[in-house]
Amino acid sequence: MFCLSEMEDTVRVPPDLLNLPLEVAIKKVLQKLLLNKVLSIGLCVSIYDIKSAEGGFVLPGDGPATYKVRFIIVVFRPFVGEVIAARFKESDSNGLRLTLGFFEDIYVPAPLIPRPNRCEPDPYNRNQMRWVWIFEEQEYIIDDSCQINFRVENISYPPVPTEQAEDAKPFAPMVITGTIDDDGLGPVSWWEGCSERNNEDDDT
Amino acid sequence: MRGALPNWGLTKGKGNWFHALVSSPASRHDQKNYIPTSFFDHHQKNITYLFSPIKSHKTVRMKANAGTLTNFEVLDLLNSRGASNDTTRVIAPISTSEYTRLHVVYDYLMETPACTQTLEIITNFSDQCKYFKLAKAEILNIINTRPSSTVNLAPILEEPSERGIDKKAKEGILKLVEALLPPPPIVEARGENEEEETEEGEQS
Repeated sequence: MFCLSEMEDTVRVPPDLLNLPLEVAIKKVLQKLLLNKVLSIGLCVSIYDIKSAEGGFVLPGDGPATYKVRFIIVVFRPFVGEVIAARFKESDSNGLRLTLGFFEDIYVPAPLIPRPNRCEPDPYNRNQMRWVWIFEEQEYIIDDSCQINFRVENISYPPVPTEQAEDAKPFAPMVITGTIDDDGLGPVSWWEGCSERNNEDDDT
Repeated sequence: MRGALPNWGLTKGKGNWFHALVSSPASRHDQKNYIPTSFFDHHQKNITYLFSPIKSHKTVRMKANAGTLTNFEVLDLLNSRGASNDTTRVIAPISTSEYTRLHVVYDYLMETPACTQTLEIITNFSDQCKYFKLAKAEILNIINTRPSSTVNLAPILEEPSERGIDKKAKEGILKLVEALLPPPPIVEARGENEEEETEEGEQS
């Protein structure tokens, strides 16, 4: 789910930070620049280490000292095929939306929900739709009662829109598309009875 | 404060995945300062960083994937940064937004099996996994999700029948998981008990 990524950048350390040790100052500037931002490689979670910093020249007419810094950051970037445990956030007629707490743009579109299924207005929540999987005449509801395992199908980085309508959803720079259409995926409660049955088979 | 932990590039297939870490002089990152650079010289051949020529771009990404981390390692990293449950303590070197974000990531990871793992456990586990000829991505998935039954293992394994992984091999993998990886925490929030009721017993 997380990777280390090595980068190099030109960092300008403003004069008010120059009384701090160099590493601390550079780290502060990098954090402000990169933390919680989505780069082309993923969501930056933390600065891991600073490998080297050179330069420190103050350009004429400019206050900050400029350093060329090599550093490593921890990015959140799952790989395709990774199975991740998430929580249900909301659902609508297009599919489900799951969340990890620190990352909320995980979508499971309708075709990747196991079939046969149906979508009905949620009796507990007027604005939402609820998805129900029908298997062997049993109905399995998808809701927020337990953790939902999904497998990553695709990660996309939609380009920043130039214009946005007033009431549009906030722009999501990184979108993960997941599937729950496989054994063991979906809410964990669906498979708990199954695992007990498997254990019995193993014991005999 | 120098030095970076070894990269465990999943994309590079050479050698034992955890070898570089286990044999490094400091194989824990619960120190406040990370590992001294003697590590680099000692393990030069295991390091797959290659520094490409520096161009005059604003941000040059030297290596997008300098190593994939298991959830446990990220959790360990956060613990060493002090992002534990003690919310009253103010951590000086980390700015507020990093603290909040780390805290959210920390909370997420504490609900996954990663919170009961240790370095020895996952190293040992991945060593033992080589008997089953699993891909590194699959080993990572298993460590992160700790499947407890065949049905939980199913979405992780890719084309098992074509690779000769039959039911017996799957049971072998599950026994290994049961024996080597500690059970995940009990998720209190929704009253779901993820812990296995029956232990399969010690290593057979």
